[in-house]
Amino acid sequence: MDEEKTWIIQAQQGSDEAFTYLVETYQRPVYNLCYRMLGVADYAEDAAQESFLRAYKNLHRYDINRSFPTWLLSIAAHYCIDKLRRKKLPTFSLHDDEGTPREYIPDTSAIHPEKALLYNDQSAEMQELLQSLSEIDRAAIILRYWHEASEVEIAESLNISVSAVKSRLFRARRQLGEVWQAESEKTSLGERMPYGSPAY
Amino acid sequence: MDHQHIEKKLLNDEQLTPEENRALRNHLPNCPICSALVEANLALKHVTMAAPAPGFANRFTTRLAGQRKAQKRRYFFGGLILFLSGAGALLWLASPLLTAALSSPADILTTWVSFIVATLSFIQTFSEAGKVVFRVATGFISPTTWAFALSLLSILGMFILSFSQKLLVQRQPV
Repeated sequence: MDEEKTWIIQAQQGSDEAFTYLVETYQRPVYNLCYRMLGVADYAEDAAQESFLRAYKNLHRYDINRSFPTWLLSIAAHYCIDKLRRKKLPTFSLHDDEGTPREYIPDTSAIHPEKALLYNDQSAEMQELLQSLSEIDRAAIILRYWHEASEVEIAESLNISVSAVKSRLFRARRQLGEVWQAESEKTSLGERMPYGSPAY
Repeated sequence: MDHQHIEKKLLNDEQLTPEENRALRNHLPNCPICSALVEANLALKHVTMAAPAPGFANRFTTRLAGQRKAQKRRYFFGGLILFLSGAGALLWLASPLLTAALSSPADILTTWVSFIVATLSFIQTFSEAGKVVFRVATGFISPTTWAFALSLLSILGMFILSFSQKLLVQRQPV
Protein backbone atom coordinates (compact mmCIF):
# COMPACT_ATOMS: atom_id res chain seq x y z
CA MET A 1 0.00 0.00 0.00
CA ASP A 2 1.46 3.38 -0.95
CA GLU A 3 1.91 6.33 1.37
CA GLU A 4 -1.03 8.29 0.00
CA LYS A 5 -3.45 5.44 0.61
CA THR A 6 -2.23 5.21 4.19
CA TRP A 7 -2.96 8.92 4.69
CA ILE A 8 -6.40 8.51 3.11
CA ILE A 9 -7.28 5.55 5.33
CA GLN A 10 -6.09 7.45 8.40
CA ALA A 11 -8.17 10.45 7.33
CA GLN A 12 -11.18 8.16 6.83
CA GLN A 13 -10.66 6.95 10.38
CA GLY A 14 -10.92 10.55 11.60
CA SER A 15 -7.32 11.78 11.65
CA ASP A 16 -7.30 15.55 11.03
CA GLU A 17 -3.53 15.48 10.61
CA ALA A 18 -3.84 13.00 7.74
CA PHE A 19 -6.48 15.09 6.02
CA THR A 20 -4.37 18.24 6.42
CA TYR A 21 -1.55 16.36 4.70
CA LEU A 22 -3.93 15.60 1.80
CA VAL A 23 -4.95 19.28 1.68
CA GLU A 24 -1.30 20.32 1.50
CA THR A 25 -0.63 17.80 -1.26
CA TYR A 26 -3.61 18.67 -3.45
CA GLN A 27 -4.18 22.36 -2.68
CA ARG A 28 -2.55 23.50 -5.89
CA PRO A 29 -4.47 21.33 -8.42
CA VAL A 30 -7.77 21.97 -6.65
CA TYR A 31 -7.14 25.72 -6.43
CA ASN A 32 -6.00 25.83 -10.06
CA LEU A 33 -9.17 24.09 -11.24
CA CYS A 34 -11.33 26.51 -9.23
CA TYR A 35 -9.36 29.53 -10.44
CA ARG A 36 -9.56 28.49 -14.10
CA MET A 37 -13.28 27.77 -13.72
CA LEU A 38 -14.28 30.92 -11.82
CA GLY A 39 -11.61 33.34 -13.03
CA VAL A 40 -11.26 35.34 -9.78
CA ALA A 41 -8.64 34.50 -7.14
CA ASP A 42 -10.94 35.19 -4.16
CA TYR A 43 -13.77 33.04 -5.50
CA ALA A 44 -11.24 30.34 -6.34
CA GLU A 45 -9.87 30.34 -2.78
CA ASP A 46 -13.38 30.03 -1.38
CA ALA A 47 -14.35 27.30 -3.85
CA ALA A 48 -11.16 25.32 -3.18
CA GLN A 49 -11.71 25.51 0.59
CA GLU A 50 -15.33 24.45 0.16
CA SER A 51 -14.29 21.56 -2.10
CA PHE A 52 -11.91 20.26 0.56
CA LEU A 53 -14.64 20.61 3.20
CA ARG A 54 -17.02 18.57 1.02
CA ALA A 55 -14.31 15.98 0.48
CA TYR A 56 -13.75 15.82 4.25
CA LYS A 57 -17.46 15.31 4.92
CA ASN A 58 -17.82 12.63 2.22
CA LEU A 59 -14.52 10.86 2.81
CA HIS A 60 -16.33 7.77 4.12
CA ARG A 61 -17.92 7.38 0.65
CA TYR A 62 -14.58 7.48 -1.17
CA ASP A 63 -13.63 4.13 -2.70
CA ILE A 64 -9.95 3.52 -1.96
CA ASN A 65 -9.53 1.71 -5.31
CA ARG A 66 -10.37 4.88 -7.24
CA SER A 67 -7.90 7.65 -7.96
CA PHE A 68 -8.00 10.19 -5.10
CA PRO A 69 -7.06 13.25 -7.21
CA THR A 70 -9.76 12.36 -9.77
CA TRP A 71 -12.34 12.10 -6.95
CA LEU A 72 -11.17 15.37 -5.40
CA LEU A 73 -11.13 17.27 -8.70
CA SER A 74 -14.57 15.88 -9.47
CA ILE A 75 -15.89 17.47 -6.26
CA ALA A 76 -14.20 20.78 -7.10
CA ALA A 77 -15.44 20.75 -10.70
CA HIS A 78 -19.03 20.07 -9.68
CA TYR A 79 -18.88 22.74 -7.01
CA CYS A 80 -17.64 25.34 -9.53
CA ILE A 81 -20.18 24.29 -12.19
CA ASP A 82 -23.00 24.65 -9.62
CA LYS A 83 -21.64 28.00 -8.47
CA LEU A 84 -21.45 29.32 -12.03
CA ARG A 85 -24.96 28.07 -12.88
CA ARG A 86 -26.64 29.32 -9.72
CA LYS A 87 -25.06 32.66 -9.11
CA LYS A 88 -23.69 33.67 -12.48
CA LEU A 89 -20.51 34.97 -10.90
CA PRO A 90 -18.79 37.94 -12.49
CA THR A 91 -15.71 36.68 -14.33
CA PHE A 92 -12.43 38.34 -15.06
CA SER A 93 -12.15 39.92 -18.50
CA LEU A 94 -9.29 41.69 -20.21
CA HIS A 95 -11.75 44.04 -21.87
CA ASP A 96 -14.47 46.28 -20.54
CA ASP A 97 -18.08 46.20 -21.77
CA GLU A 98 -17.22 48.23 -24.85
CA GLY A 99 -14.38 45.91 -25.79
CA THR A 100 -11.63 48.35 -24.79
CA PRO A 101 -8.64 46.63 -23.16
CA ARG A 102 -8.53 47.21 -19.39
CA GLU A 103 -5.43 48.73 -17.88
CA TYR A 104 -4.13 46.53 -15.09
CA ILE A 105 -2.92 48.53 -12.10
CA PRO A 106 -1.24 46.20 -9.62
CA ASP A 107 -1.85 46.81 -5.92
CA THR A 108 1.51 45.68 -4.58
CA SER A 109 0.36 45.81 -0.97
CA ALA A 110 -2.47 43.36 -1.56
CA ILE A 111 -0.92 40.80 -3.90
CA HIS A 112 1.00 37.73 -2.79
CA PRO A 113 3.87 36.72 -5.07
CA GLU A 114 1.84 33.62 -6.04
CA LYS A 115 -1.20 35.72 -6.82
CA ALA A 116 0.84 38.17 -8.86
CA LEU A 117 1.92 35.32 -11.08
CA LEU A 118 -1.67 34.87 -12.13
CA TYR A 119 -1.67 38.23 -13.79
CA ASN A 120 0.96 37.49 -16.35
CA ASP A 121 -0.15 38.02 -19.93
CA GLN A 122 -0.49 34.42 -20.93
CA SER A 123 -2.53 33.52 -17.88
CA ALA A 124 -4.91 36.44 -18.31
CA GLU A 125 -5.43 35.80 -22.00
CA MET A 126 -5.99 32.15 -21.35
CA GLN A 127 -8.46 33.05 -18.63
CA GLU A 128 -10.45 35.12 -21.07
CA LEU A 129 -10.38 32.30 -23.60
CA LEU A 130 -11.76 29.91 -21.01
CA GLN A 131 -14.60 32.25 -20.09
CA SER A 132 -15.94 31.87 -23.63
CA LEU A 133 -16.71 28.18 -22.96
CA SER A 134 -19.73 26.67 -21.25
CA GLU A 135 -19.19 25.42 -17.68
CA ILE A 136 -18.78 21.72 -18.54
CA ASP A 137 -16.69 22.35 -21.66
CA ARG A 138 -14.44 24.60 -19.58
CA ALA A 139 -14.06 21.95 -16.90
CA ALA A 140 -13.21 19.34 -19.57
CA ILE A 141 -10.54 21.58 -21.12
CA ILE A 142 -9.02 22.45 -17.73
CA LEU A 143 -8.85 18.81 -16.68
CA ARG A 144 -7.35 17.85 -20.05
CA TYR A 145 -4.65 20.51 -20.34
CA TRP A 146 -3.88 21.67 -16.81
CA HIS A 147 -4.31 18.35 -15.06
CA GLU A 148 -3.37 16.08 -17.97
CA ALA A 149 -6.41 13.91 -17.30
CA SER A 150 -7.33 11.20 -19.79
CA GLU A 151 -10.73 11.18 -21.45
CA VAL A 152 -11.81 8.38 -19.11
CA GLU A 153 -10.72 10.37 -16.05
CA ILE A 154 -12.55 13.47 -17.33
CA ALA A 155 -15.66 11.35 -17.89
CA GLU A 156 -15.40 10.03 -14.32
CA SER A 157 -14.86 13.49 -12.89
CA LEU A 158 -17.73 15.13 -14.74
CA ASN A 159 -20.14 12.16 -14.63
CA ILE A 160 -20.52 12.06 -18.40
CA SER A 161 -19.71 9.40 -20.99
CA VAL A 162 -16.33 9.16 -22.73
CA SER A 163 -17.95 9.95 -26.08
CA ALA A 164 -19.52 13.05 -24.51
CA VAL A 165 -16.06 14.09 -23.30
CA LYS A 166 -14.66 13.66 -26.82
CA SER A 167 -17.40 15.74 -28.40
CA ARG A 168 -17.14 18.41 -25.68
CA LEU A 169 -13.36 18.68 -26.16
CA PHE A 170 -13.87 18.86 -29.93
CA ARG A 171 -16.46 21.63 -29.57
CA ALA A 172 -14.39 23.49 -26.96
CA ARG A 173 -11.27 23.47 -29.17
CA ARG A 174 -13.31 24.86 -32.07
CA GLN A 175 -14.74 27.58 -29.82
CA LEU A 176 -11.28 28.46 -28.46
CA GLY A 177 -9.91 28.61 -32.00
CA GLU A 178 -12.66 31.01 -33.04
CA VAL A 179 -12.07 33.29 -30.05
CA TRP A 180 -8.30 33.10 -30.61
CA GLN A 181 -8.78 34.07 -34.26
CA ALA A 182 -11.07 36.98 -33.32
CA GLU A 183 -8.56 38.19 -30.71
CA SER A 184 -5.68 37.91 -33.21
CA GLU A 185 -7.63 39.95 -35.76
CA LYS A 186 -8.40 42.59 -33.12
CA THR A 187 -4.74 42.74 -32.09
CA SER A 188 -3.47 43.06 -35.65
CA LEU A 189 -6.06 45.83 -36.24
CA GLY A 190 -4.86 47.56 -33.07
CA GLU A 191 -1.24 47.36 -34.27
CA ARG A 192 -2.24 48.99 -37.52
CA MET A 193 -4.21 51.71 -35.62
CA PRO A 194 -2.07 52.43 -32.53
CA TYR A 195 -4.14 55.47 -31.53
CA GLY A 196 -7.47 53.97 -32.43
CA SER A 197 -8.13 56.25 -35.42
CA PRO A 198 -9.24 54.32 -38.47
CA ALA A 199 -7.13 54.69 -41.59
CA TYR A 200 -9.72 55.86 -44.11
CA MET B 1 -4.74 16.95 -47.95
CA ASP B 2 -7.73 19.28 -47.59
CA HIS B 3 -8.66 21.84 -44.92
CA GLN B 4 -11.41 19.64 -43.43
CA HIS B 5 -9.04 16.74 -42.81
CA ILE B 6 -6.44 18.97 -41.11
CA GLU B 7 -9.06 20.84 -39.08
CA LYS B 8 -10.59 17.58 -37.85
CA LYS B 9 -7.17 16.30 -36.81
CA LEU B 10 -6.50 19.53 -34.90
CA LEU B 11 -9.92 19.56 -33.23
CA ASN B 12 -9.46 15.99 -32.09
CA ASP B 13 -5.89 16.80 -30.99
CA GLU B 14 -4.64 13.75 -32.85
CA GLN B 15 -1.01 12.88 -33.51
CA LEU B 16 0.00 13.90 -37.06
CA THR B 17 2.04 11.71 -39.37
CA PRO B 18 5.18 13.31 -40.96
CA GLU B 19 3.25 13.64 -44.22
CA GLU B 20 0.33 15.33 -42.42
CA ASN B 21 2.79 17.62 -40.64
CA ARG B 22 4.23 18.74 -43.99
CA ALA B 23 0.71 19.32 -45.34
CA LEU B 24 -0.16 21.33 -42.22
CA ARG B 25 2.93 23.55 -42.63
CA ASN B 26 1.93 24.29 -46.22
CA HIS B 27 -1.70 24.85 -45.25
CA LEU B 28 -1.23 27.18 -42.27
CA PRO B 29 -0.09 30.37 -44.08
CA ASN B 30 -3.29 30.31 -46.14
CA CYS B 31 -5.77 29.30 -43.41
CA PRO B 32 -6.48 31.64 -40.46
CA ILE B 33 -8.89 29.07 -38.94
CA CYS B 34 -6.30 26.30 -38.69
CA SER B 35 -3.59 28.80 -37.64
CA ALA B 36 -5.81 29.93 -34.76
CA LEU B 37 -6.45 26.30 -33.79
CA VAL B 38 -2.74 25.49 -33.78
CA GLU B 39 -1.90 28.59 -31.74
CA ALA B 40 -4.70 27.96 -29.24
CA ASN B 41 -3.63 24.32 -28.90
CA LEU B 42 -0.01 25.38 -28.39
CA ALA B 43 -1.04 27.91 -25.75
CA LEU B 44 -3.09 25.25 -23.97
CA LYS B 45 -0.11 22.92 -23.93
CA HIS B 46 2.06 25.52 -22.20
CA VAL B 47 -0.31 26.61 -19.46
CA THR B 48 0.81 27.20 -15.90
CA MET B 49 -0.81 26.01 -12.69
CA ALA B 50 -2.23 28.73 -10.46
CA ALA B 51 -1.24 28.43 -6.81
CA PRO B 52 -3.19 29.60 -3.78
CA ALA B 53 -1.78 32.22 -1.39
CA PRO B 54 0.51 30.72 1.29
CA GLY B 55 -1.21 29.26 4.36
CA PHE B 56 -4.03 27.55 2.45
CA ALA B 57 -3.95 24.45 4.68
CA ASN B 58 -4.00 26.59 7.85
CA ARG B 59 -6.99 28.53 6.54
CA PHE B 60 -8.69 25.23 5.81
CA THR B 61 -8.06 23.99 9.36
CA THR B 62 -9.52 27.21 10.77
CA ARG B 63 -12.54 26.91 8.48
CA LEU B 64 -13.07 23.27 9.47
CA ALA B 65 -12.91 24.19 13.17
CA GLY B 66 -15.43 26.98 12.55
CA GLN B 67 -17.77 24.58 10.76
CA ARG B 68 -17.52 22.07 13.60
CA LYS B 69 -18.31 24.76 16.16
CA ALA B 70 -21.29 25.91 14.10
CA GLN B 71 -22.49 22.32 13.79
CA LYS B 72 -22.22 21.76 17.55
CA ARG B 73 -24.17 24.96 18.10
CA ARG B 74 -26.80 23.81 15.59
CA TYR B 75 -27.13 20.42 17.35
CA PHE B 76 -27.45 22.11 20.75
CA PHE B 77 -30.10 24.59 19.67
CA GLY B 78 -31.90 21.92 17.60
CA GLY B 79 -32.05 19.62 20.65
CA LEU B 80 -33.19 22.49 22.86
CA ILE B 81 -35.96 23.45 20.44
CA LEU B 82 -37.05 19.79 20.17
CA PHE B 83 -37.12 19.40 23.96
CA LEU B 84 -39.00 22.66 24.50
CA SER B 85 -41.52 21.79 21.75
CA GLY B 86 -42.08 18.31 23.25
CA ALA B 87 -42.48 19.71 26.75
CA GLY B 88 -44.84 22.40 25.44
CA ALA B 89 -46.96 19.85 23.57
CA LEU B 90 -47.16 17.61 26.64
CA LEU B 91 -48.16 20.54 28.81
CA TRP B 92 -50.80 21.56 26.29
CA LEU B 93 -52.23 18.03 26.14
CA ALA B 94 -52.20 17.63 29.90
CA SER B 95 -53.49 21.13 30.65
CA PRO B 96 -57.19 20.11 31.23
CA LEU B 97 -56.10 17.33 33.56
CA LEU B 98 -53.65 19.57 35.36
CA THR B 99 -56.24 22.32 35.75
CA ALA B 100 -58.72 19.84 37.22
CA ALA B 101 -56.09 18.34 39.47
CA LEU B 102 -55.01 21.74 40.71
CA SER B 103 -58.59 22.98 41.28
CA SER B 104 -59.82 19.85 43.16
CA PRO B 105 -57.13 17.26 43.94
CA ALA B 106 -59.53 15.11 46.07
CA ASP B 107 -61.98 14.63 43.17
CA ILE B 108 -59.22 13.51 40.79
CA LEU B 109 -57.88 11.06 43.38
CA THR B 110 -61.32 9.58 43.93
CA THR B 111 -61.91 9.16 40.16
CA TRP B 112 -58.56 7.40 39.70
CA VAL B 113 -59.06 5.03 42.65
CA SER B 114 -62.59 4.11 41.52
CA PHE B 115 -61.33 3.48 37.96
CA ILE B 116 -58.61 1.13 39.23
CA VAL B 117 -61.05 -0.73 41.51
CA ALA B 118 -63.58 -1.13 38.65
CA THR B 119 -60.91 -2.50 36.30
CA LEU B 120 -59.67 -5.02 38.89
CA SER B 121 -63.19 -6.23 39.70
CA PHE B 122 -63.96 -6.65 35.97
CA ILE B 123 -60.87 -8.83 35.51
CA GLN B 124 -61.82 -10.93 38.56
CA THR B 125 -65.43 -11.46 37.37
CA PHE B 126 -64.30 -12.37 33.87
CA SER B 127 -61.85 -15.02 35.13
CA GLU B 128 -64.50 -16.53 37.46
CA ALA B 129 -66.99 -16.76 34.57
CA GLY B 130 -64.33 -18.40 32.37
CA LYS B 131 -63.64 -21.07 35.02
CA VAL B 132 -67.35 -21.90 35.28
CA VAL B 133 -67.77 -22.19 31.49
CA PHE B 134 -64.74 -24.51 31.27
CA ARG B 135 -66.05 -26.81 34.02
CA VAL B 136 -69.49 -27.08 32.38
CA ALA B 137 -68.10 -27.59 28.84
CA THR B 138 -65.77 -30.46 29.88
CA GLY B 139 -68.81 -32.33 31.30
CA PHE B 140 -70.77 -32.04 28.01
CA ILE B 141 -67.99 -32.94 25.51
CA SER B 142 -66.69 -36.55 25.32
CA PRO B 143 -62.91 -37.32 25.54
CA THR B 144 -62.95 -38.65 21.93
CA THR B 145 -64.25 -35.32 20.63
CA TRP B 146 -61.57 -33.50 22.64
CA ALA B 147 -58.87 -35.75 21.20
CA PHE B 148 -60.19 -35.28 17.66
CA ALA B 149 -60.44 -31.49 18.06
CA LEU B 150 -56.91 -31.25 19.50
CA SER B 151 -55.44 -33.37 16.66
CA LEU B 152 -57.23 -31.21 14.09
CA LEU B 153 -55.85 -28.07 15.70
CA SER B 154 -52.28 -29.44 15.80
CA ILE B 155 -52.43 -30.44 12.09
CA LEU B 156 -53.71 -26.97 11.22
CA GLY B 157 -50.89 -25.42 13.28
CA MET B 158 -48.20 -27.48 11.51
CA PHE B 159 -49.67 -26.59 8.12
CA ILE B 160 -49.60 -22.83 8.93
CA LEU B 161 -46.03 -23.11 10.26
CA SER B 162 -44.64 -24.87 7.16
CA PHE B 163 -46.50 -22.48 4.81
CA SER B 164 -45.14 -19.38 6.57
CA GLN B 165 -41.57 -20.80 6.49
CA LYS B 166 -41.88 -21.35 2.72
CA LEU B 167 -43.02 -17.78 2.27
CA LEU B 168 -40.08 -16.46 4.33
CA VAL B 169 -37.56 -18.44 2.27
CA GLN B 170 -38.97 -17.08 -0.99
CA ARG B 171 -38.83 -13.44 0.20
CA GLN B 172 -35.21 -13.52 1.32
CA PRO B 173 -32.92 -11.39 -0.89
CA VAL B 174 -30.44 -13.21 -3.14
